[in-house]
Amino acid sequence: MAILFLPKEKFRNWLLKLSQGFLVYYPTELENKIHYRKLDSNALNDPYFPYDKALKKIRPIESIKGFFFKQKEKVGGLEDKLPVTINLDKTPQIIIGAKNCDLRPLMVHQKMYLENEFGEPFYKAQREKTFIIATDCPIPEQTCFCNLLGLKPFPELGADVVMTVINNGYIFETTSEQGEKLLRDNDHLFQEAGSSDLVERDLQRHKAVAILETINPKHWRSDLIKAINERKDEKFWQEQAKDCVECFGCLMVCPTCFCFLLYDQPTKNNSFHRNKIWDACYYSAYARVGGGMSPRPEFWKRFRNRFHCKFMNFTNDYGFNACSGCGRCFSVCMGKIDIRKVLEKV
Amino acid sequence: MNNPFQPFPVTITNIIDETPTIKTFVLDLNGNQFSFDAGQFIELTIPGVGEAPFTPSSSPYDKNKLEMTIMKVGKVTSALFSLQVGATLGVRGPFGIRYPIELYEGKEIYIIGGGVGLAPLRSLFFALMENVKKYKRIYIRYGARTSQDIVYKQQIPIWKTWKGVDIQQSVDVGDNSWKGKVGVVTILLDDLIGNTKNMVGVVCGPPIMMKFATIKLLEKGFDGNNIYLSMEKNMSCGLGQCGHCRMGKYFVCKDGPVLTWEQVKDIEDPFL
Ligand SMILES: Cc1cc2nc3c(=O)[nH]c(=O)nc-3n(C[C@H](O)[C@H](O)[C@H](O)COP(=O)(O)OP(=O)(O)OC[C@H]3O[C@@H](n4cnc5c(N)ncnc54)[C@H](O)[C@@H]3O)c2cc1C
Ligand code: SF4
Ligand code: SF4
Ligand code: FES
Repeated sequence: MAILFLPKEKFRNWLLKLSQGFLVYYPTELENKIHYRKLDSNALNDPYFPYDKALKKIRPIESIKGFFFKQKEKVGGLEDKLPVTINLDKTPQIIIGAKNCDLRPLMVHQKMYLENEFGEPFYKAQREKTFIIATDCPIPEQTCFCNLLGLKPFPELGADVVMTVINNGYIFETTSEQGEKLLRDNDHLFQEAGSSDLVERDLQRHKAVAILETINPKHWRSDLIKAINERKDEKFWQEQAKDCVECFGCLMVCPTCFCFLLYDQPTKNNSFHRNKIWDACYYSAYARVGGGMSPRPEFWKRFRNRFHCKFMNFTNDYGFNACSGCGRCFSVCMGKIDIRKVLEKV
Repeated sequence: MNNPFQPFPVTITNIIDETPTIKTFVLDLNGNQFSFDAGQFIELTIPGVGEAPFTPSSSPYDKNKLEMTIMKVGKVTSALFSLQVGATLGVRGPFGIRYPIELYEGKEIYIIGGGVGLAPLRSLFFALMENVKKYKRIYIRYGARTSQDIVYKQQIPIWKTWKGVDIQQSVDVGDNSWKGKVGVVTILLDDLIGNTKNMVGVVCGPPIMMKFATIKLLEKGFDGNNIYLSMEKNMSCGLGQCGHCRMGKYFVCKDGPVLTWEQVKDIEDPFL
């Protein structure tokens, strides 16, 4: 499909059309912070709504992970010896404004859940009902470091449609069959993108790449895996972890972290619901076994485990890191532990 | 929907007291399709309390029932111990990979168990006994803390009469009723001789016992590829998705739970 252009004045019209068939989630500014929120009728009916403002910012506070891998989701249970029935919500939805650092995590979960031999039907169902319209980051911020992961500040893999905000409108490129259909449904609104539009997009992208290089000029060592593996001394890891207050916010906001716990809640006699809830390797109970033994009783070992997981074990398994450079982990960190710095020193 | 998190209901049909802290639970599968190979494990649900991983102790060839020999150590196991015959449990699985018993053919096999660690090994033992002629000899070396802590007290004397099998036991701490050897289970390996390079060692027990048994087997000349170790790691999903059982490059639920010494030897503290 050709690269398309949507003039600014038709954007609201298009959103209105989308919201007739889908639940539409859109980056929304609330108290100076961006969150994905349902696009409501107030926004849709307001011709002066600042649609571009939040779109042009970097990734929202929460990642899109929670749309698919929910913080808590009922995944089973028994009621009077019979399996509980679970009705999956299949309402189709569109997420607009996902950034490249939220797309890479989808590949991590693809490996962990969808390509797993048993599969993960709940995650799969959420993915299948969702269209992702991803957008560029024209102005990366100090917390961004996707460049250190070899990623670009604009969508590469994993979206259905890539949308770039330019001066007088929007450029659309479809990256999946689903995405193509989504645009074709409203194709009377679009026109083919002109070469000057594409030049504008390229320039904007080059600028963003250059900004990232000034934010993170120093790339990690090429033998990072080996370095992490050989960094066994307690002193080093104690030093890196010393400002941690053990709130574990870093793992809760992380878009790539895939760990979960199956957690049963009793309902009535002999009946229970099984929930799949987010879990994280920093909790002391995470790896504890019966009787209280643990492979990582000391916190510095659990702290180190995150680096082993994301930059060594996953990388060895799949050839890319389980980190997308979104910077959420240290944006929420009370001890200001910057994952970039740790990896620089390792 | 094929839901890997959903257990199927089973019923407790018998509970056998093995020791003051270990019981064998006999489960009726209520007609559910289920079979496993020796080495694989299941996730057992106590409704309303939670799930925990256990390796069946019954023969994989016995399709009518499933047995699990379980030690009471914490939340889930304590709740299980309070249940009576007739209670409903949930089962998911089987998970993990089996012992590659075809590789054991023609060899001498040392099955080394510590405490409740003999339980998972019993299903391997039964599986081997189905074709006992294929193996050169099967040795069981079993250690328990005291004579009271020995599991399968009625069965072991019977196994001792079986052809092709050689069983020795020890207890860490002796008492008046114990006439056998006293000392940790590795003392039963002290006089192990022969073409050890070609022997198979299968070990299951508490971490410290696994460690010393492995050291002993290596000293005796066993090949790291022939030492099979049951790794007890925290497990939640059993599917290789939730991350909990990660040990170095392995997801123990999926790549194990039995791994060879060769596979784990470069891992920091594999037994912890
Ligand atoms: C593959 C495999 C096979 C096994 N086979 C057998 C067998 O045949 N027989 C046998 O007796 N045992 C076996 N075990 C061990 C058995 O799984 C454990 O003994 C059992 O999980 C203990 O559960 P528990 O709830 O009673 O113990 P607990 O000590 O109460 O709990 C253990 C689990 O709960 C978590 N936990 C503990 N405290 C907390 C807390 N405060 N907050 C949150 N979580 C907590 C731990 O992280 C751990 O997951 C096997 C284990 C594995 C991995
Ligand atoms: S580790 Fe930090 S920077 Fe990397 S994906 Fe997770 S939250 Fe983002
Ligand atoms: S860093 Fe820890 S919580 Fe995150 S995916 Fe890895 S093991 Fe799980
Ligand atoms: S128990 Fe979940 S990954 Fe192994």
